[in-house]
Amino acid sequence: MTERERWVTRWGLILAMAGNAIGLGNFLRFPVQAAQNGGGAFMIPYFLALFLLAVPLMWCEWAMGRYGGRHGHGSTPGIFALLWRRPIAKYLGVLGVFLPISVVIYYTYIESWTLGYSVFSLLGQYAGVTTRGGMSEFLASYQGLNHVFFAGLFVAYFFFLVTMGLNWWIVRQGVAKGIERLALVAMPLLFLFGVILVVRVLTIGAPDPAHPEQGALNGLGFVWNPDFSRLGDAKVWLAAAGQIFFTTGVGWGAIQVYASYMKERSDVVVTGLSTVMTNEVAEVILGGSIAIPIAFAFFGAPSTLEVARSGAYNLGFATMPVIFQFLPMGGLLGMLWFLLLFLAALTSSVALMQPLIAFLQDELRLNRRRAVGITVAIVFLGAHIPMLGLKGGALDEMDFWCGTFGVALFALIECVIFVWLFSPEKAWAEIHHGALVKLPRLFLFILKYVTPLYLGVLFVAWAWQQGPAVLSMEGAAPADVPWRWAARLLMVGLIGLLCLLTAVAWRRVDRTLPPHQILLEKR
Amino acid sequence: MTAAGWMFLSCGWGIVMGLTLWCLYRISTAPEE
Repeated sequence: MTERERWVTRWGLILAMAGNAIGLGNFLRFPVQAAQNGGGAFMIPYFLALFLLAVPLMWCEWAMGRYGGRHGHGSTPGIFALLWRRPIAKYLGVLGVFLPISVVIYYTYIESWTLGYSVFSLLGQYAGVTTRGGMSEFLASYQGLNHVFFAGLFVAYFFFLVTMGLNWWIVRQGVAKGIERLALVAMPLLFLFGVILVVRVLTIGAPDPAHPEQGALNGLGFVWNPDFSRLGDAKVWLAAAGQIFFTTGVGWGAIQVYASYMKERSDVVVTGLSTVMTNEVAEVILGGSIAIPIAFAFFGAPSTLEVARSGAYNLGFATMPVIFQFLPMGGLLGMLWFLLLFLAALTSSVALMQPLIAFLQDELRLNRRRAVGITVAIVFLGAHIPMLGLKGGALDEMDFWCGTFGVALFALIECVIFVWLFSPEKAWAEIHHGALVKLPRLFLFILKYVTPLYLGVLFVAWAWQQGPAVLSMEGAAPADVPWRWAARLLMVGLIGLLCLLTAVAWRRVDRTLPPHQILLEKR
Repeated sequence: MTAAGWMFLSCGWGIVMGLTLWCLYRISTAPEE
């Protein structure tokens, strides 16, 4: 590396950032959440959370990432230490490395299911399994939980290895040659697959002649018909804010790293907003128009509600494969559906690996090859816990502490550090450095008061609602307890290791020069 | 799908597409960095 890596094109940056945000949640979690929480009425708290929580926070993350990159730091320990010159700042920033690496440990395993299922769809592996119960059993068998369709975990493990290999190969190429090139190919393909599926779903009519009202267009009603009585339920508001968190990728620590590879005077206001809105197109327009409407067309209203209640994975891996078998060229459509999910997941998983890679490169001065090797090894080894302990709840345990509790906590911390401790006026000026448009001052007020308050309420509500039950392992079978503890040990071990590495980096590594200059001098 | 459902869908899609297209227009007409 002769200098800090940079995005080559503006469109490459936009698509890579959008790829980071667009994930499985856009196509599986969003329609389920909307259908369960008041349909169109859910979209009121959803859009409020988007503009009061996600968009301001996204601007903060882009601006602090670009600021860090200017000083040779891409990950949050280095960025927080620049923004708030206190020793504790870098340790708070460790969360921004710990969360994405912990999430990607189980995310790559789920990602590998989508790759496996796209191959199964093409080869007709699940042909003849035409009930949702049967497909649930097929999924459980694939996960090694029964032996009806697969003898063990071998097939799942094979696809996991392929997924890991692909992730490793992409991140090893670097930001411009790996991640940017992937985004330039994968994102247009993802949108193409999405549009093909939406057109197919919305033109399907009513598959059952006995129920002409049961068409996919009417199925859109499940996502959009408003039930205003649900707006009085605090859970609906929390669910909407939660969905916004999961879908936009704020609070994970990955946006800052991508932003650190921007040019010094690149705009963050419009470019950042464009990535959030691209994510919303994938979610609100594509994600809301595929799975739930087609489930309605084939199974009717009561069963669709049941499908939505059974969760996102059941919708994606049990219900959709059944539906595709009833359609002409169903194998091909099934492959498109799972490839769409795979591309969405792949562009997110490479982004989630980047914070640790950047941390090892920028703070510990490792070269990219070694940083990538260590990161991929941690993900590969760590993934065995959620993989083998899936039934024991290891994945759910990690998902709560990292994907819910940790993300809200980290978002609150970064918002306070950037807006309050760095100072509101400096934060505002940093956001507008090189901006294509000037934001109304109203957004400064939102950044200072509304977003942190919103985040605080969200964090307390999630911790209060789910924390005690998860902490005490409520309802867990005795056989599950060791797996849940294994997941906790993995997380504690990772956070301990990262704190230790941070302490070492700040004590032993020469911090008087930006990392790329030190590498140049070593040469 | 009720009339209110179509109205919410139109508003939701409109906000999302409108803002996306505006952003893409601003970016594509911005001077090269």
